Amino acid sequence: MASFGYTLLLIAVVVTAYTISMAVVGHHTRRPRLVVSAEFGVYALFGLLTSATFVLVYLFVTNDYSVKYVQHYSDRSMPLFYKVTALWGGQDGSLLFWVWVMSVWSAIAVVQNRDRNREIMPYTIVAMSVVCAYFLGLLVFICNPFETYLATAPTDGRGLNPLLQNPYMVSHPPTLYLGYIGWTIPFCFAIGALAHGKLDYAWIASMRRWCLVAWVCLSVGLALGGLWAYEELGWGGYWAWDPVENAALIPWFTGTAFIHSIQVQERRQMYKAWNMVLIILTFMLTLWGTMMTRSGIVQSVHAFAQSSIGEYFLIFISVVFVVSFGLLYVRRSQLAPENSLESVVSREFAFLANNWVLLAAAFFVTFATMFPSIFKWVKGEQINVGPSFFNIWMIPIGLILLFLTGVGPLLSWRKSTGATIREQFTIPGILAALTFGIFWFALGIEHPAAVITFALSVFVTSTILQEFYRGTRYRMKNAQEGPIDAFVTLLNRASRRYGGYIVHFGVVLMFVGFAGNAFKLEKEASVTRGHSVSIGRFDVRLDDLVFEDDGQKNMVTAKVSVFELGADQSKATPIATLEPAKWAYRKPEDQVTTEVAKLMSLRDDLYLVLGGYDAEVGTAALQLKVNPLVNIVWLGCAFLMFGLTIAIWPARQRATQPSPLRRLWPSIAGSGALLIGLMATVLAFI
Amino acid sequence: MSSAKIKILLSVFVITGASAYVVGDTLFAENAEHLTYFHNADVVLAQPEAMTGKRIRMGGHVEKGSIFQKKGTLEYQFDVRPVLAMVTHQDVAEKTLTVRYKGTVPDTFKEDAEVIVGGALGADGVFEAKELIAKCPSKYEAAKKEAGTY
Repeated sequence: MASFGYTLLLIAVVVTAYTISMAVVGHHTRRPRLVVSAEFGVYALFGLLTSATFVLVYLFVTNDYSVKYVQHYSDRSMPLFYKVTALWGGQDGSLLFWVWVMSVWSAIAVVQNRDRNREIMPYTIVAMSVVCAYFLGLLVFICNPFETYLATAPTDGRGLNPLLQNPYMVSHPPTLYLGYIGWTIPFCFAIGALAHGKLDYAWIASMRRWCLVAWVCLSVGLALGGLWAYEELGWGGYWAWDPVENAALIPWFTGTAFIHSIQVQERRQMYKAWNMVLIILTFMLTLWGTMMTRSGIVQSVHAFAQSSIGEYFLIFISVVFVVSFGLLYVRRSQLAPENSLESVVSREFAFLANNWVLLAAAFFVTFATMFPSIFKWVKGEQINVGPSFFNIWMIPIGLILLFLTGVGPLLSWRKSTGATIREQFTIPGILAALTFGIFWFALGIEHPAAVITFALSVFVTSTILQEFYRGTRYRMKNAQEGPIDAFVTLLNRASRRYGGYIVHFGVVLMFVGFAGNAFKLEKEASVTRGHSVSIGRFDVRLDDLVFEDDGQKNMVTAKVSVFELGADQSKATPIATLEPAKWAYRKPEDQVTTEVAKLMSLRDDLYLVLGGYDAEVGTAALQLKVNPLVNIVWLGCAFLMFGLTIAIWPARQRATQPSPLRRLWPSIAGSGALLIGLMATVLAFI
Repeated sequence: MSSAKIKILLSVFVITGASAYVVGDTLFAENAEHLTYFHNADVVLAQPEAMTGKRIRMGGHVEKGSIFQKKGTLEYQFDVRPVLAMVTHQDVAEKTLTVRYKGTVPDTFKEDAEVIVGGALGADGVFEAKELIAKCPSKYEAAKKEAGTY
């Protein structure tokens, strides 16, 4: 069975070669039938890789431990669910998964464009196939997931670490992949357009939704990674500026810049070359991120999977760089802007500023991630950088971005007059100033970054509310509709615009959550049975220490009651019981897992870790943390998904739509389902 | 020169200037709060006087059988020995250094694990750690990275 899988990969290599040659020959000899044949090559690749992926899953499910990859990442005792998802548990399988997703998305893109963008399709197909061929090459020659043991095969696998047997860890990698690979498709279209020379807005228009979907996948993937760290790793945070996290964040910056600046190209036929640069950079940075975490060129406090594929990535990135920017140079005259910037008080300039800030963020995070390596190279000494190093620059950058989130959408195209600016920004400006005053002077909170974040959040939120209010009022007046009908029609008619506002609101919520970090409380305490310890507004009493064993693991659980202290710190009302625990698994290798217990609310999380215990005396060593506003981050992510669903929902013709509410329901249902799914996963862990 | 060219030149200038500033600022601000020197345990063992009181990060392996946790507390004491592959002072390659730490330890902290401790060497020759990071000897981190990277 394993050799069958490998054979499928070999056939896939041949098919991509066929696809590339058919597309090139068909394009240059003007024979559309050959191009159609190339498209069938893309479908064939999809079929072959789907089969190969299923073969690997089958090997996992049937416990075929003669296959090295299966033996490394699973064992007999694992539930079926985790056996299937062990597919992306390691490098070789994740590469197969990567190229499989790539083939799925290529096939979808080709089907969608069977009747449109015909001129640019041949080279788009070539670009897709070259990317697939590169990854197939890695699979076939360097990291073959179907490699078997030559000697006698082991009877059981090594198992997947319990820390990875977690729903977040199952959903996080594929979501990130969808995002990463999602950006590859628009890149291929950009190459197709550059190669053919048809450089109008058409291809970007048909790729707009792709980009948004890729963007939301990457965003949600990052958030899920944060949730996993927060739930499972027990250090009480969700983001540590680790190189692995940064690798996914850097292309997110350039991708975000791209989805903003293509709107300028759509409306004003400007920034054409710039948009090309952004999409090429985004794709290159996804490759770069992959390489950075693989090749060992970046030292991390985490153990990296070191492997030899780093240099192959470097070669591929260089090829992508030379080809893409070479094409861009050749086509530079066709990418000249048709309009020029008329004023700095215009939406196109706000978008440009947004792009620059995002690019600065991408540059800085890349630099800071590489910094220890650069430092060692320059000074010969080894250093480590921590989150504070990143925060020096990322906090101001984030605040500028937040400000632009409020300003950009309200400025007019071409030039905003003084009257427009007064009309748009008077109320939000006053509200922001008031917020700043209240937090800084009245409440005496002396965290500049946090207070500015709150003020800017109020600013952006009020600009958004103002837009919704004015839009609804306008419709009520002009179309004689009731408020609800007017609101729903608004969302429906201008779904891109108002969906975008909801996404922005989600971003605002996330910033509010980030600002909560400034007010973290932390405490360590040894508590004896019956005694209690207080932190912030909470009083935590240890009721009991329980020792259990379920055969698979030893479990120590601290049963604690949580009380809320009154204003004078005296009257305590019981609000919950929590059970932080420590589990020691017998296999693999006496792995210990810390089971965090949390009391969640929108206001804050009480986060309890059982660090140690004394069974004889009945003492538990607890680490207590209060993380204010942390759940607002996840809520913001939900709004982001909801807004995006609205923004990409296809606008349908008016005549076929009886009621505006009915037109909107699929989008509401869709995002509702996503939200419920997310909540359910969260709730499953409380 | 056309105004477009001036704009481009100006942009390039601003971008390079800003980048150079960030690079220079971080690279040459010697005692910046956010930079921590990293040493393998043998460097600390070889020159304890020079190292005493300096805020550093130190790498090493947790010596087998040396982990001691004061019961019912979060106070740990353990010995680290230098990471062999990085040793520069051969004479102390086999020695160990005692580390004291108070706080929760990562799940990956166990005997033989590669750890990084952040803190300073005390006058009594014991390393007082304020932070403790453990690399995983097994494949979990590797697997996490691999799974999360593409």
